Amino acid sequence: MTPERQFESPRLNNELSCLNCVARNSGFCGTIIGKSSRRSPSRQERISRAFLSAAEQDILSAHGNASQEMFVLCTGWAFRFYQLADGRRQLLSILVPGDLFSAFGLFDPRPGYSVQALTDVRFCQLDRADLKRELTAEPSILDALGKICAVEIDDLNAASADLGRGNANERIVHFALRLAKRLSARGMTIRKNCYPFPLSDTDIADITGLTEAEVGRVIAGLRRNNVIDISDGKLLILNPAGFEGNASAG
Amino acid sequence: MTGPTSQFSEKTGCNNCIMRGLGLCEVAIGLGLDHPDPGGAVPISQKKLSAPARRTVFRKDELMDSVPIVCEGWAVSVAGLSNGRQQILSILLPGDLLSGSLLFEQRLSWSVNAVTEVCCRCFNRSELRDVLATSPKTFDRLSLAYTVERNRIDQLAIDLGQRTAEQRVARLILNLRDRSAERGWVHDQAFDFPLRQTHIADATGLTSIHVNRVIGGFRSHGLVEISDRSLKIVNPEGLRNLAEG
Repeated sequence: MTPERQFESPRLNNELSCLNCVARNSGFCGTIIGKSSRRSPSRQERISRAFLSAAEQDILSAHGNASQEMFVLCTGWAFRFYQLADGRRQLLSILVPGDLFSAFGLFDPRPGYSVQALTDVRFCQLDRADLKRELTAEPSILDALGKICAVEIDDLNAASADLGRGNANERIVHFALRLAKRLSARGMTIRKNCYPFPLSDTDIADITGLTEAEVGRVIAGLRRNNVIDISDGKLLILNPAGFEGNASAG
Repeated sequence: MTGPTSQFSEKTGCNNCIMRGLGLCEVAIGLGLDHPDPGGAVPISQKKLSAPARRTVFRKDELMDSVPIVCEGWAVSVAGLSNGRQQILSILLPGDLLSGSLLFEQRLSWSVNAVTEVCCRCFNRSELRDVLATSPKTFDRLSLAYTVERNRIDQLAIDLGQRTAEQRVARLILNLRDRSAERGWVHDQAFDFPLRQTHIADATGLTSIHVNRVIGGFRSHGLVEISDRSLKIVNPEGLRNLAEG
């Protein structure tokens, strides 16, 4: 029996900064911080922030805990999830470098979800009041955040449509294609059609509402039929053309 | 067959609306129509749009120049999958914003269908956005509505991914009861319920046959009564216990 892991709180990491962050030009930072820093070099300084590190599986943000900060993932992977009383969990979204834990964090100081590190992570906490002041001062930044919110809504709706009406194959393929599209947009590719993929079968099961056994069977079938392959921490899209049209429900 | 109809450039018409006290409409009305908010800018142009029951009100990929709020009737936002399958993403009641995304994106990512005859008021997006930055009240109300929308989608994913058929249907009924109660429509635990079994099935990821069995079970256990487009929760505690598993 595996001993129960003792989770640690995220640690302040003063060695980090935005200057040499790989995510600075992508995702939330590329849209908001990067954009604003070009217009006004001092804008970054006007938003109080701190950098933290956490280990794989650590809880980064707990359901219902009030926070005065918004969080953006700098390195590593994490996921947003909801845990039911009986221990089951539903993964709501996968977070990669440059992602806010949720774009709605600005409006939602007491989130109804938790965030857990999938790998070792570094992340940045931004003062919500500072950020809100900057957003309302410059409509283009508010617009950018609003568009990020809209993308989050679209992605969640597409995932829900698959959960409600998609078969096991569709749930997994559509999830993989949506993730691949996001990773491509961030330049997070290993080679053409090949992406890093640190999720386990359990994680995939908790995203797609399937059992681990179903996930194993479906992935084996998709591999046999040259649709996608998930192995050795990599996602390989073998026949994107065949599924591209169904990638997002709507 | 009759499609949606619209009239442009109205600046009044909300005077007698029973929804005007509900958060979002209050902001839109207060900013421009009857009692301008000193913090607001200019009146927000709007157009009225009506659609008969069971018609598509807005189509997926439609380019929208406005942000609609449902004034009367029930509607559903729907995602279509291949082979004609569809998933209801949200049930829209009077006072509901169609989607906060429309404040920032022109293209609608899903369709909206009328359940009953529906009337919407569509507020000019650029005018509404102009007041976002100048009116903290508008900013807070719209961001709250947008956050509620995101939380609702989270709950839908949790329901569909992890909860049993009975829990999904019970939670749908309780959610509609709570939202109807906010609007003052619940009397003695009874409220209007124009949804058909196919709507419930498409909202909960079940088949109509399965929904029929679940509702039949609720009735036989004395949890709910459904008759003539009305639903009464006979045993609220029992239904809540079932919903929470």
